[in-house]
Amino acid sequence: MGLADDLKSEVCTIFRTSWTTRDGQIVPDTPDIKLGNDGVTLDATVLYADIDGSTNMVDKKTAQFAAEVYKSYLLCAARIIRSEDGVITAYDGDRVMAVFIGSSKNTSAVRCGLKIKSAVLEIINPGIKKQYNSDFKLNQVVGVDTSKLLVARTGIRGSNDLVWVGPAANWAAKLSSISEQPYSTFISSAVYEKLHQSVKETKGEAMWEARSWKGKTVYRSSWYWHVPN
Amino acid sequence: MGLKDDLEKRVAEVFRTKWDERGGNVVPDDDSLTLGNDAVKLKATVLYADLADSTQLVDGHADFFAAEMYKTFLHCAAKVIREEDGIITAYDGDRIMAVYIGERKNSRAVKSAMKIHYAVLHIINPAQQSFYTKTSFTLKHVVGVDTSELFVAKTGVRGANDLVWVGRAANYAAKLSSLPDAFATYVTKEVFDVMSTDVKTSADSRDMWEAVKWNTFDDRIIYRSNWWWRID
Repeated sequence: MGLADDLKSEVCTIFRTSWTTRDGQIVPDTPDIKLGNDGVTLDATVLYADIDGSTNMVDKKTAQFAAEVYKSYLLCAARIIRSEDGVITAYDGDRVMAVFIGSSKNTSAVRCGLKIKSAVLEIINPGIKKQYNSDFKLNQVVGVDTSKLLVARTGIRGSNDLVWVGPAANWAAKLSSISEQPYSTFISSAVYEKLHQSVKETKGEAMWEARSWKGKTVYRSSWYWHVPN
Repeated sequence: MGLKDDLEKRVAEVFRTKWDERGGNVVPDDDSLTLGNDAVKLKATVLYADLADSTQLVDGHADFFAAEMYKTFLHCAAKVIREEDGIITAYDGDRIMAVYIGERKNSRAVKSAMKIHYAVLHIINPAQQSFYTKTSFTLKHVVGVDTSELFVAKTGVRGANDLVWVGRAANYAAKLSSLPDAFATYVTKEVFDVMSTDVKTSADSRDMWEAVKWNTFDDRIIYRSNWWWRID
């Protein structure tokens, strides 16, 4: 069978097959979902953490330096996400996607965003200064949104081939591409409304400001949350 | 040791450790690199294929319908890439990254882009429209292609597929794939200049590409096309 016939047959199977879906209690991993139109639905909060200005960094700095910045950032983001019980679901070049579920998913994801900012300010940028005596400052943006998600297999490679379908996956990615430093955490109003007081205010001072963006109200913050010692 | 101390220690290690680099002539997978500052350098062409308007797709349609569009698109893109000997290196939601090395890497990447366009126009959309006769949705996509030296290292973020691809082509190809979907393929001048005649000019000798300024970036010249390449 030629490639065209093969693709036609696969595409028709995908459109024709009825879905079997179930509600998920945990963030699914590839083996939890069958190939074919099998899906898990979740109420989830999605976080995207993205380096701001990576093209400029790659154009201006050596590959070694850029790779060290990528590695440090992804390492810190990943560890902080896990410490807040988030699950890293995709990782692509300079950005990382994580999913949070459960009763405090919005507060955890947002605190995670504020902690990643602290890691950049208090760990990564001082690390660059110390090793290279350089004033290069890494900038990054975290976007957070919440919605129902449908998780399915794509079948495009052996492992890690899940597709996360739902508004939160798209909007969190879009929010993480807003470049308005020093604001580095952008969240949807659905997330903001569910936040615990501790990540909304500090000593009565609001940590967030509302902003209109693409016809929606979103909230941005330049605050950070110390990574625990 | 607290999380902060641990991160400080590991970040300092990343910046302090000297790189152990070697030239590569195969696309590395994560078993071929160690976790420290170990890297492979290679001359490569990068392709990003991105579903256009996916936000509108998920906001305006049932989740299973959106999932079927993602699946069919990613499935066709992945098979076309493999047929042209590209390696899928990252896959994140609605976009896919592939790397091509060796002989004719630019022509093979561009031909993949043109075949993905064919799959969308002549395989996915007709099938979708015949199953969902009441839906007026039409799938659109954009592919970006650039070429440069790439520096590949392991990030240690998770067990599998955790390589970081550092180099102009990885960034530019991703940026090109988010350009307007009025054109299905965008390539840099470096790709255009070395790609073979069969992907530049049609059988009846028409130019398949148009030079334009990349006005959302730095006004450099890039090339765009809406031509497709038939999949047999």
